[in-house]
Amino acid sequence: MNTLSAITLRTGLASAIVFALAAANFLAAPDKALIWLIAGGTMAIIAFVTIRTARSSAIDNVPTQQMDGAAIAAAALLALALGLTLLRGQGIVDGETNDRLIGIGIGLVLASQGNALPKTLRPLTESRCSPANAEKLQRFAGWAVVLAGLGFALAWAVLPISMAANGAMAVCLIGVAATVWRCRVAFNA
Amino acid sequence: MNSVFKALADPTRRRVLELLREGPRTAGQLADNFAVSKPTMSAHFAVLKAADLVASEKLGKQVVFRLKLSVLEDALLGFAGLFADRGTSAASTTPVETGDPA
Repeated sequence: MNTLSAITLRTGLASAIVFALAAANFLAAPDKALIWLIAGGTMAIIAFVTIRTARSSAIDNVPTQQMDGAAIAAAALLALALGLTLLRGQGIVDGETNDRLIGIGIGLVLASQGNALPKTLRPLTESRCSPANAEKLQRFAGWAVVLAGLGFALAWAVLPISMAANGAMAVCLIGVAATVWRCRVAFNA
Repeated sequence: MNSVFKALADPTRRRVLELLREGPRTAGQLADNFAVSKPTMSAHFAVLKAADLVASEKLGKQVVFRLKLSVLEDALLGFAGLFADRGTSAASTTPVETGDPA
C-alpha cells in the first residue's frame, strides 16, 4: 500500500469513527442536533483537506499528521460528550459537571493542538517575513494557544459555573489578540 | 520522548538549539561556535534530527538548520538550561567533545 492510500484509508477511518460518534451523540441528545451537525461538517472538511494535501504533496507528511491529530481530538471530544450524555441520562452526572468536563476537554484539546503548532515548518523560501521572524512568530503562537487552552480548561474547572463560559472565552480572546498583535509586529518588521 | 531527553542532556546540543532560537543557520555557522571537530558536530546534528528537534533544508550547496520544537520541548529546553551545571554548559568555550556525542 503506498503512502497516499495509507493516508486516505487512515483519514477515511478516522472520519467514519467521528461520524459514528456524532450520530450516536445525536441519538442520545437530539436537542443538540446543531452541535453534532457542526462536528460532522468540520470532520468532513478535515478529511477533504487531508486527502487534498496528501495528493498535492507526497513529500512532507506534517500537514497530514496534524489533520490526523485534529481527527483524534475531535473523536475524543465526541466520545467524551457521548459518555457524559449517557451518564447524565442515568443521573450519575449533573448538568454542571457535564458542562465543566466538556469545557476542560475542549481546553486540553486546544492546548495539545497549540503544542504541535511550532513544529509545522514551511520551506524557508515561502516565508512571508524573514525566516527568523516567522519562526519566532510560530513559537509565540504555539505558546499563546497552549496557555489559552490551559486557561480555558482552568476557567471551566475553578470559576463559578455562571462565570465559567465568559471567563474561558475571555482567556481565549486574550490569546488570539496577543497572536494577532505579534503577527502584525512580525509582518511589519 | 526518550530521544528528546537524550538530545537535551548534552550541553553542546542545547547550545545549538539556543543558537537556532535566533533564526535558521547553516551547519558551518553553527559549527563555528564550537571547538569540536566536524564529524563530532555532524553527530550532534544527527542526534537532534533523530529527536525531531531540528529540521534541515538544502539551499544551494548549504544545509540550513531550523528549530523544530513543540511548546513542551521548548519548555523542557528552558528547564534543562536552567538546572544544568553552569560549569559544563559553557560548551562554546570548552573543547570537551571528542568521542561519541550520544
